[in-house]
Amino acid sequence: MTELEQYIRSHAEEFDIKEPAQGHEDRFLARLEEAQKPARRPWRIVWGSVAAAAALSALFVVSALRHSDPEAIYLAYMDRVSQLYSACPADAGNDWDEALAGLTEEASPLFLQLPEEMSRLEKARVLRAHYASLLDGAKQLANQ
Amino acid sequence: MTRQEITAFYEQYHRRLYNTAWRILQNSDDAEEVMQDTLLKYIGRKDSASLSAPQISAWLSRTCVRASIDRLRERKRRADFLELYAVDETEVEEADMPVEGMDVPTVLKAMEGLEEPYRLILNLVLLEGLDYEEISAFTGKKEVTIRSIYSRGRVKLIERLRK
Repeated sequence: MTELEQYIRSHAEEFDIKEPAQGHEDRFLARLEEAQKPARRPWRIVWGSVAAAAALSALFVVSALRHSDPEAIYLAYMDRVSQLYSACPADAGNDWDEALAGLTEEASPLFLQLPEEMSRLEKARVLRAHYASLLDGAKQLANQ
Repeated sequence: MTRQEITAFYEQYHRRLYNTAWRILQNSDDAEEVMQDTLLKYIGRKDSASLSAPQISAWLSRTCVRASIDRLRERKRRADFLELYAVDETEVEEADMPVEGMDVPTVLKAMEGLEEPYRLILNLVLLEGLDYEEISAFTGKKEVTIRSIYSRGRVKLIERLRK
């Protein structure tokens, strides 16, 4: 690393000199409030049938995790889980949410626990298998 | 997270993330939106309590960089994001200059004055601490292309600092 590169890296925090426009905290709190409003459950319009749920679930197990970048796999997994939450089947109540949480949530994500010595490809392989299995469980749930 | 915790969390991280997004997007409104999206995304995570401070910081930083690049790519869709640059992938000679007496505002001004692909890649490598492989994954461009933009950008930065 050159002297100049080293200088910039070691002073990186000092480069953060910009501040967002006035009122940014209020705008954030307004967005937070909006985000924390109880989600409307479009029970009857999101998924027309269990068959559609099963088809979609099968698709994302195959397609969502095809990345070779561990972080991308994790983010794709999280995206799919979010989609599942917003696509809860009709008249399922909170039990469905809780079951889905039990199946898909990790107290400490495997993504962050894999040893650093593993190559990215090895990590990607392990993560793909792990998250595909979690999504498969969610798929079984969606089929109920 | 309680409202108070969220406010403290926002206070702790907003500036860093805003600057990360601003350096990539060069636009205050977009940078604020990406910064807030990133924080809201984190607050919405159900496993947020289980992460350590370095994990939180790393997650926020990567998510913010990714979101900023996605937005930049969207904005530049018609201009072929990064595609027009660095077609010449031959190595350039490593350049350096003494940093004695140098100050951050001078370097910052020189970096901000660089043309876009160089400014973006230099920021990602030097200030966000990403490696070529990560940048390649974020941008969808070959590592060799990123490396080439970086080494040429470094030469251009030194030229500007010498002026």
